[in-house]
Amino acid sequence: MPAVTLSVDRLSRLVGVQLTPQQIADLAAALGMSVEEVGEAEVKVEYNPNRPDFGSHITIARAVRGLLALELGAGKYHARASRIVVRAERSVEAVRPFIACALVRSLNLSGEDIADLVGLQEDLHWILGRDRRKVAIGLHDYSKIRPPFLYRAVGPTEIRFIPLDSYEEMTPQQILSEHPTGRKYSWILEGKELVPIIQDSRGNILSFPPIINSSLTELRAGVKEIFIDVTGTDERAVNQALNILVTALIDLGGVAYKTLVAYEGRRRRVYTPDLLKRRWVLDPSLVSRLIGLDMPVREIVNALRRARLDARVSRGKIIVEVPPYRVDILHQVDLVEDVAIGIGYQNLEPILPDTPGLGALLASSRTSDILRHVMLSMGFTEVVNTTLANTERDFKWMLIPKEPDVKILNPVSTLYDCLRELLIPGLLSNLATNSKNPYPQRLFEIGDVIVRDDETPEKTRREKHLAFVICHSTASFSESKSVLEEALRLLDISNDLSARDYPFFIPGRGAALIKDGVEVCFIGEVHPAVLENFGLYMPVACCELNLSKAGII
Amino acid sequence: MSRQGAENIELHPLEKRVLSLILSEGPLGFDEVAARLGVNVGAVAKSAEWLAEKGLAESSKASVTHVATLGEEGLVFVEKGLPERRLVDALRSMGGEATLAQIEAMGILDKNELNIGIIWAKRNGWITVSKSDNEVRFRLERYPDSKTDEELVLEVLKRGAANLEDMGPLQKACERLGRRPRILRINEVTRYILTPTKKALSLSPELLEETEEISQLTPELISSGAWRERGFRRYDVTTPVKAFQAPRPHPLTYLIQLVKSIFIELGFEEVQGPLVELAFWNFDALFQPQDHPAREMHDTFYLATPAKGDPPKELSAIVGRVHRDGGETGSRGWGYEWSIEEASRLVLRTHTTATTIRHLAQSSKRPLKVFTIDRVYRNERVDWRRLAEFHQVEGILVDKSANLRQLMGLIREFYSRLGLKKVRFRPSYFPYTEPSAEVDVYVERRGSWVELGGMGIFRPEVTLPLEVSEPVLAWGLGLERLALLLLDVNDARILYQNDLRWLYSFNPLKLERLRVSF
Repeated sequence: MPAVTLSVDRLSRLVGVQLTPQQIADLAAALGMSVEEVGEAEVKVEYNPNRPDFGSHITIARAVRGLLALELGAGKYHARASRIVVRAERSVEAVRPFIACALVRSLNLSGEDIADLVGLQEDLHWILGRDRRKVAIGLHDYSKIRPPFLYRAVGPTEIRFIPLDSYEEMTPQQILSEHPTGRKYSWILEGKELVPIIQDSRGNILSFPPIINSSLTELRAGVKEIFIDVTGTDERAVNQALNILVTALIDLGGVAYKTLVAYEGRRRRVYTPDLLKRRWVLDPSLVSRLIGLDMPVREIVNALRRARLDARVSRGKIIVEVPPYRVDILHQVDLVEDVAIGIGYQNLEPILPDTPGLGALLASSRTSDILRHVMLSMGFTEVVNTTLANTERDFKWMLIPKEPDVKILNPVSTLYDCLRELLIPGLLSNLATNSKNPYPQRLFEIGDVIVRDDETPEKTRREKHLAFVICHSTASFSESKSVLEEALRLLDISNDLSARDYPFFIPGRGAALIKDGVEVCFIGEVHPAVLENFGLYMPVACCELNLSKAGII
Repeated sequence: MSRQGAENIELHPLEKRVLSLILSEGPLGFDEVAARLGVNVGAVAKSAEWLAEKGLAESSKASVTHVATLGEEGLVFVEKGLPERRLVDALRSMGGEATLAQIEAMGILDKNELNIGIIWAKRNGWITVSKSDNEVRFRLERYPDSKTDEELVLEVLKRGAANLEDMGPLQKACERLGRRPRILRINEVTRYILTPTKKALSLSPELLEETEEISQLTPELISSGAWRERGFRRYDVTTPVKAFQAPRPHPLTYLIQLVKSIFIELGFEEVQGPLVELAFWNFDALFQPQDHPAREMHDTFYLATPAKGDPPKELSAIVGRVHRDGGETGSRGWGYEWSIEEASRLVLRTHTTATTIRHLAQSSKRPLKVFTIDRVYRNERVDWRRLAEFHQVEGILVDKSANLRQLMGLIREFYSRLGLKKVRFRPSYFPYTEPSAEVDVYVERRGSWVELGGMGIFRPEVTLPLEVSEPVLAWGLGLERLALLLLDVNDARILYQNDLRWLYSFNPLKLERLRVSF
């Protein structure tokens, strides 16, 4: 989850009320953020990705002002007309097809304001931009550039400019291979012959999206006019990001201007930012039903206004206007949650549902429980292992000449690369873990294994197994056979063991149980070569029973 | 205490030996008995106590002796000489007169020793002390040529402790030194004598015969009746024995059973679903857009083999439209081109919601109350708080009248039955629920709130494609986090390590008490 470190001082100034760190923590939690740390001067919070507008003091202050009823309803967000044109060449279509721009004037940004904006920008890159791939944002000092602007794709060595955090001119290719930011994001442009750039009427490069801006337009404290470019692969997300930034700058006292984006050859001309307010008709009875609280319409309207939405009543329905930065409202139910937040979750008294129901365990759970008791009563201690397994341990160490049925594509940890098909390897690992503990050791596990099954939509099937290991200086086939026989008597399975060699058993000391022509169980003394692989220096006898194949579960 | 007639007196072998000895030799000191029988005095004292209880012997205080031993200073002085001796030696070497400063400068006595030396040399009349011109002066009056009695005592004790009563002419000096306890300590030692009683004298001799005692009762001894002829050896019941470890259920399965029983009590039916899951059920059916960060490779395990499965055709078409533009659900949708290829990928399910949503799709039972406790996977590096495979406690309640407050009430009831009485709810976000909430429980022992799970009401984008029109309350709670709290463990990896020491330390009764008193 994205995080913001809120300065108590700055947030208080923006809200207009002196707040304590604890008050800020409580307000953040009430807004759906998760409070990580409450310090003396700072409060660290994490927010959910459905609210990409929560990445700054400015925008959080807006929500807090609503919650404290200092300001209700949505603010006024307009953009004036301008003559700024951004021409998008056809060449960008295959590289990064969409662009949206805005100009914001009448600002006077402090260093703090700029840091806040950059924080918001970075979070937007991650949440809406999927790490800049889908959306990338450039913020520019407008006094350094002159419209109209041109968005086009060029060869990677065709142009040169001084990128941020550098003192020398570089080509896009150099930036991608040498500049730290370039190297970090070069993957986005991988395989593209051309790279996108934005330039002004004098031919100055503003930006090389989604990689880096030119140092020419770098923001400094005191900046009065900001030009914003947002480029990307998803037009909706591009516009959302621009709206979130422009509305934040309007909250800082800025005046926004629209730009005309002209897509060459696509016959499309779009004015951005759209600052679109969306209108929703909300059924008050839906609110009462979902929250479980009979609320007068007036109260619902108030709660929505506290959530900084415009709301009014019309013919028994509530007309809600959603400001452009609220990109999370996809359905009426999203407004219902805003009502609940407006009321405060802490003010909703929990009640027990009166829905009748008869509790029942799965038959497989009941059978597993009985088998667990049987194994415990025979002196075996239960272990629980993961189904995530390792080819090395589960197959190579076991001397099983087979590839796993289920292989994982992308394990982050090297501990796992497949799913288990037997419980025994896990149990042998457990014995190795316990080699310093007193003997005899008798362990069992009842658990799932996963095998291929092309008949199911998931191409796999869960099977329930029961396995036990006996480990001490005189552990033997016969001891394990006694245990198995008792289990088989309980399970009402005829006990017809037949000799069978397994790679992991000592030759001549393994046996199988065949039921209706299917092997459902094996039992034997573990081969010392296998014991060595596991780092075990004590004899082991073991048994594994496939409860699913045996028709028990 | 039981009354004992003379006829059923039972004697321990040592008691028999002690009693026989004093019956034939007459009263003896404990020390003598010990020496004769080759046992230690403590064992004799114990037997004497038992015999006294049975009225067969009496112990009496015979004498009190005083034993002198050297103290820590005594051990030093016996080598270096007493301080008063060293002081007069020094004075004599200086010609019979010296100032304090001069003596100090010689360094043969430390400050403490010098003080002691002055006191005793003065008291013995060996020196006089005067003060003039702010200086303390000593003058040798009489030099003790022969060794003093005190010095002789030290020499005697150098060889070992001695009875005061055996010191003869040195006894007085010894007592004097005894008043300087760091030099010499005098301890009182009482000597006891054991005398047989009249009852012992009239005891039948067989009783004192040393019969072969039974240590292990055997079937033969019982059936032959031979046990009647022979006594039983007494056990020392305080002797440590070999540890017995009863087999235990694994704490996690125990906890899972406990949680299951709570949902059964609350009227929920258990369900189960696949561990290897179609991305369709794990994500798409839950309205998670296909470029959602949670679907990325570093969060989700995708399978290499088998890589793809078969999502349900008709439902896929509907779900795809909902993702694009909301379809018939009243939603705006996510606004992107949905791909069935992506939905066909096989993953290790990242949450048990994949199972409840499957069940919701196939069950037409209303109202519906189901739960599942099962394994889920996250493609993460394993550390003390994160596991790649763990359990979730998941459930849904489908009913026309279901609502958010009821969901809160249900979850509060669940935790309360686990002993976690204080819970709070915060707004939260999941792509498939709205409204959504997060539940924290307050843990007194830690003095803090612990986040334990998420919940919400399924979005219409999730339920309407499945033709479910009623509100669906849904929750997914972490089991391992709960386990860490209830079992008081700090490292999640311990839960799957299966170290027998840890497994045997698990006490279900303790957990039960904790649950009550939380």
